[in-house]
Amino acid sequence: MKFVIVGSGLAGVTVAEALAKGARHEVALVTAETLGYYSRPRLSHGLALSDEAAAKIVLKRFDALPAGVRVLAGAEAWFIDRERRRLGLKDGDALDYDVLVLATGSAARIPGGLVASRPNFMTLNSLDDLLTLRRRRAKVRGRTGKPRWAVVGGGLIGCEVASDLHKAGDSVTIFHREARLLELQLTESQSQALHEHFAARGVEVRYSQDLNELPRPYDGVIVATGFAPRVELAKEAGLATARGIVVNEFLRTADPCVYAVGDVAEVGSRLYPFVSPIRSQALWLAEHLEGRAREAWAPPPFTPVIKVHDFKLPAVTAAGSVSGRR
Amino acid sequence: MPSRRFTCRVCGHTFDEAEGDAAAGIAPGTRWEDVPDSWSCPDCGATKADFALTAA
Repeated sequence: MKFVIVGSGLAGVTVAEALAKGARHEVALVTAETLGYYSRPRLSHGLALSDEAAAKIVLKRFDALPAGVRVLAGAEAWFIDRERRRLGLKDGDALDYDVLVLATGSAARIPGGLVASRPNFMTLNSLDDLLTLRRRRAKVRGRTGKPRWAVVGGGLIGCEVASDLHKAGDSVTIFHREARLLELQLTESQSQALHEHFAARGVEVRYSQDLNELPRPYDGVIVATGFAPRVELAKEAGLATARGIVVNEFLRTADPCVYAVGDVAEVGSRLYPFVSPIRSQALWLAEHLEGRAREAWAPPPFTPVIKVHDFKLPAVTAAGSVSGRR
Repeated sequence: MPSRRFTCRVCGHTFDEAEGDAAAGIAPGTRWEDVPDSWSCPDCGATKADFALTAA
C-alpha cells in the first residue's frame, strides 16, 4: 500500500511511524516544516528556556524517523486529485497514494480586526514562530533590559505564554475578551485563583477588551486567540468541512481513500485538539489502515492540565468542568 | 546518586526522579528503574518505553 501523510505534527508523525513498522508499505510524509518533529504544546514554554534547552524542542529530526518513512520536508501540499489519487505539491511534484491521511493541524486564529495589522504582532503556532519570538525577545532585552509584552487572549496558550514570559523576567499584560480567564475550561473560582496568581506576580490582566484593536505601545504583541484547523486542502478537493475536516468515527471523509486525523479532524461535530486524544487517534488509525482496528475510534478519557508556572489548579467544585491544554 | 530526568519523545514531557509523579503514585526520589512499565506519560499517554534519558 502507498500511504501519503500530510503534516508532521503529533498526528502525522505517529501515523507515519506506526505504518512504517514492518516495512510492508510505502510511507511518504509531506511537511512544510524543515527542522523536525516537535510537540506544539511545548512551544508556549519555549520562551524562558536557555538557547540550549530550546534547541531540544525538536524531539526528533526528520532523518531520525524510521527509514521506512520518506520525508518530504519544506514541501507544501497544493491540491488533491481524488480521481487519480494523487497529491500535488507546490513545487510541481506529485505523489500517488492508495490512502491519503490529512494531518494538517491548525493555524492561529486571528481576530478579524487584526488581520490587516499582521506584521505588527506575532503568534506562537509553530517552531518558526517560537524562534522568531526568541530572536525578537533577545534583541529587545539587549536594548531595554526588560521587554514589555502584550498577550492578546486569556485562553490556554495566552495564559501559558504570559506565564512563561513572566518567568523569563519580562513585563506582561494580558488582554482578554471575556470577564474571566479560561472561561471555557475553568470554573469561576478557578479563574479567580488564576487571576490572583497572575496579580501576585505583577502580570496585569485586562478584561472585556476589544481584541480587534492592537494594544500599544509594547515591545511586542503576541496574539493567542484560538486556532483554525487547516481545512483548505480538503475543501478545495470537494470534501466536507465545518470547523475541521468532517470525518466519521473511522476518521474517514466521504472519500474512502482520504482520512483526517489530529487537530484538523472533526469527529462527530467535535474537535479533539489535545495531545492524548490525538495520539490515540493516530495509533488507532494506523491499526485501522492495516486492517486490525475494526471498531470505530473512541476518545480516551483525558484530563490535561494548564501549565502556568507554579500554579496549581484548585479542585473542581462544579460537575463536568475540566481543565485542559492545547 | 544524582537524580536523572527523562523526556517523553512523543510530547516532550519531562519526568524528574527527584519529583516523581504524585498523580500516578510515584513518590519523589523513585528511581526510573522502579517506575512500573504500566506507567504512562501524564501529558500524552505515551508508554514508559517512549521516554529517553535527558542529557544533563
